[in-house]
Amino acid sequence: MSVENAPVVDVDEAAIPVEKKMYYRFESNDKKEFRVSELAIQQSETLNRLVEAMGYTSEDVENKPAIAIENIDGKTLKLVFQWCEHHKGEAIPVDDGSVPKIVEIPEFDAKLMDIDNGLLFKLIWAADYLNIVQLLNVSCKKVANMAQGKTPAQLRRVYLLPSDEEDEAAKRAAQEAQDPRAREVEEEFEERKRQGGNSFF
Amino acid sequence: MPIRLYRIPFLAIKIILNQMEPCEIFMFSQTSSKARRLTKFYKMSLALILKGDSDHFMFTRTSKKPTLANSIYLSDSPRQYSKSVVFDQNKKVPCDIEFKNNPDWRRGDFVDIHANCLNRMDMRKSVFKYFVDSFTVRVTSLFLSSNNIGDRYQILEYTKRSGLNFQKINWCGTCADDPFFADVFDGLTANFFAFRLTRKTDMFCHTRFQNARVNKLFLIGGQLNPTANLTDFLNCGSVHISYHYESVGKIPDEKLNAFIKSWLTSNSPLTLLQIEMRAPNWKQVIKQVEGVQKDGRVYKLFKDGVEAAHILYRDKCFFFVEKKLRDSSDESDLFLGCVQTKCSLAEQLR
Repeated sequence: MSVENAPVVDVDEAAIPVEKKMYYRFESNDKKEFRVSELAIQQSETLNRLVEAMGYTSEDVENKPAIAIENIDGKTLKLVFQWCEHHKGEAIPVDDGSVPKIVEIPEFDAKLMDIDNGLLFKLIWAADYLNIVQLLNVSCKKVANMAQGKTPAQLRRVYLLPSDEEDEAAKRAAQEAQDPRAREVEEEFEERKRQGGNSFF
Repeated sequence: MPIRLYRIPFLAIKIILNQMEPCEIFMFSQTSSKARRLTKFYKMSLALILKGDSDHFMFTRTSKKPTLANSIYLSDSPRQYSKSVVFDQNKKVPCDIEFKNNPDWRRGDFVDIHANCLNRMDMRKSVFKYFVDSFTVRVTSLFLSSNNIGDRYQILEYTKRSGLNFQKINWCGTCADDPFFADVFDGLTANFFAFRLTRKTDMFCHTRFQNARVNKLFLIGGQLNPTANLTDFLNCGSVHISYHYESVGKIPDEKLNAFIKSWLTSNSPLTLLQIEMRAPNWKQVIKQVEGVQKDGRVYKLFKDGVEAAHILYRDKCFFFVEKKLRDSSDESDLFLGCVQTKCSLAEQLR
């Protein structure tokens, strides 16, 4: 199934599905609404527990307000639900602790994740937040693949990794931001040292 | 457009690192000390091959599945290096990095790093320290074939450090006849395979074994210290001693007798002793050993009235075998003759 044909539908754009299955309504933080099948929701442990706890009937689903997902925007949520619809009914991988994890990215997922890294970053956050194990695996695989054949200097650029010096500078800046008086005392101390003072106190 | 890795949730970072190949994880660990704190959970196997003119570290992921070995070559030869690598104290070491790909493997990326060093021993220690600090490391094997006595001695002493978890040391060739090596087995726990297949040698003729705690000890083609007693091996798991063909070595019957008596009165973990030698004089070997029963060509030894071990001569070798081990093992595996032992050892070392 191609990305375009995935059955995630924006409420204002598409017709209501004719199947008798229950479709839940979710709303992103930018107020975009999505209808997602019950089976697709099972891919997300977080949403699955949520809808179980709510115990909605098909009437409730239509009459009550859409379930708000406050941390995720519409663009990301659309990708997430497209993925869930495509993989609905598939077994959720269980972490057996084995290393290395051999993960293949299926063609559909590869096309779905043919996105800029900013959106990929949000997708990983969403997969982690919604606890969608397989989506997290494939999206992480895509990030892991970026390291192929890279030297440390190239990795720093690809993953925006700070060097030890940059980490140290950031740490100092954070400390100073927390305690501005400490900075003042340090400056005063340096000034007195320059003036040849014997004792600070 | 880059992706800000450290802003990704920790669980996802862990998944990402687990999906990387060892060469990529090594390169990642090179980026900063923060990166090394993250790679610490990653299990890496490390091996060192020490040759006369070069050192070769190999690292792979600790896994039952075979993976391509990545290499770090240490060299002091002058050469134009275009990159740098950091092993210890954040000192940059000039190096060349070559990524390679093996299309026969599903994901066949591996790396060869040629690092320049002036002091090879310091560099070896730095590399070991780097791997111990950066990964959950298991040193699978150390292959010593360098003729440099100082090198061998220092590196063997270094293996006893905690945290390195050495599994196996392969000792190839001569030069352990130096008095330097007298105490080299003190506290050594890694399995030790020493062999010299080509000519007669005095290998290990000065070495003492009293404090060796080695699980498997193979001394092939060498000559033991004449003052060594077999009771010195009582703290080991299994011991195989094989002289070279030209040698006329034979352990005196009195020493075999003393060994048997000591084993029966101690709680020794030793389960197998194999010595290539001429047939012993059994009368002398079992002299004053209580309750010995002869069953065909096997002498059965009893400990507190219970059958505990067997001694026998087979395929030009004297064997002492714990009863439990004999019951649970395949006979042909257990009683490998000296030639077969050498062959299987050579196979292991490849």
